[in-house]
Amino acid sequence: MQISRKEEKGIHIFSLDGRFDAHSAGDVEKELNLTISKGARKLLLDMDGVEYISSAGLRVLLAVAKKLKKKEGEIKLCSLKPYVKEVFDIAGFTQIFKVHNTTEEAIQGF
Amino acid sequence: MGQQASSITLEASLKNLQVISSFLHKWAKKASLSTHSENELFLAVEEAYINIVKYAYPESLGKVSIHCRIEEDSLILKIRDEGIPFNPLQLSEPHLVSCLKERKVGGLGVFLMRRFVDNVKYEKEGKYNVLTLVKSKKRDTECQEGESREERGS
Repeated sequence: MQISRKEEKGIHIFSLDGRFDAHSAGDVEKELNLTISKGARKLLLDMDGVEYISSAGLRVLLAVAKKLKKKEGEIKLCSLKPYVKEVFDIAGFTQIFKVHNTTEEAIQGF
Repeated sequence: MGQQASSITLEASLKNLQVISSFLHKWAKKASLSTHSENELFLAVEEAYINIVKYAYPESLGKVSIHCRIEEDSLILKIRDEGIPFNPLQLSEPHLVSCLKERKVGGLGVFLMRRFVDNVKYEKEGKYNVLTLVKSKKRDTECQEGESREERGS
């Protein structure tokens, strides 16, 4: 999994590229937690490069969302591929997370 | 008729997930599954495999074998281990509450596994736990046809 990040208008944008599975979930969690520990409260995950996600990826997203909520922060997601969207729908994640079509739309939403 | 069955045996560890992915990819191609169906099938296998890594062999490394075959309209996988028995079909479904605060982390693996394949069966064969996953090619074809009908209609 390739993780690149940038900051725009105080929003920490992470672009994920690769499989969000049990093997890569730990790396993503570490990266997001590190950013939160440095004070970031607005996180955006661009999932355009993620073709595959499993429950390990969902677990990380939920844990990070809960952590941010406690700190009065928020995580949003954008650009979900059809399979990832299906997993989100079945797991009820589309009701928990704010999911946008594009990064621009998500940034506007903060 | 080409080779219609094969298996791999490996150490149950997280790092072997990639090996399983490559093995399944070959079979998904052979069965002409769409990428979407391949992802669904792989999710089911990953969830089963990770359960074995974590719970069947909690203290030592054990072996897992995955046997794959094509039978009529289905891709059939048998995942075999000799660790602590676990029947995923006995697990109750998670509460999918939409409130972030009340939503529990975890517990989705088996739920998603059961949703993404057409049949799941657990059996004890002597010292082995055998989990059979069936992914129908027929449903995949129907979905693809449905999608193209929708595209044509839109």
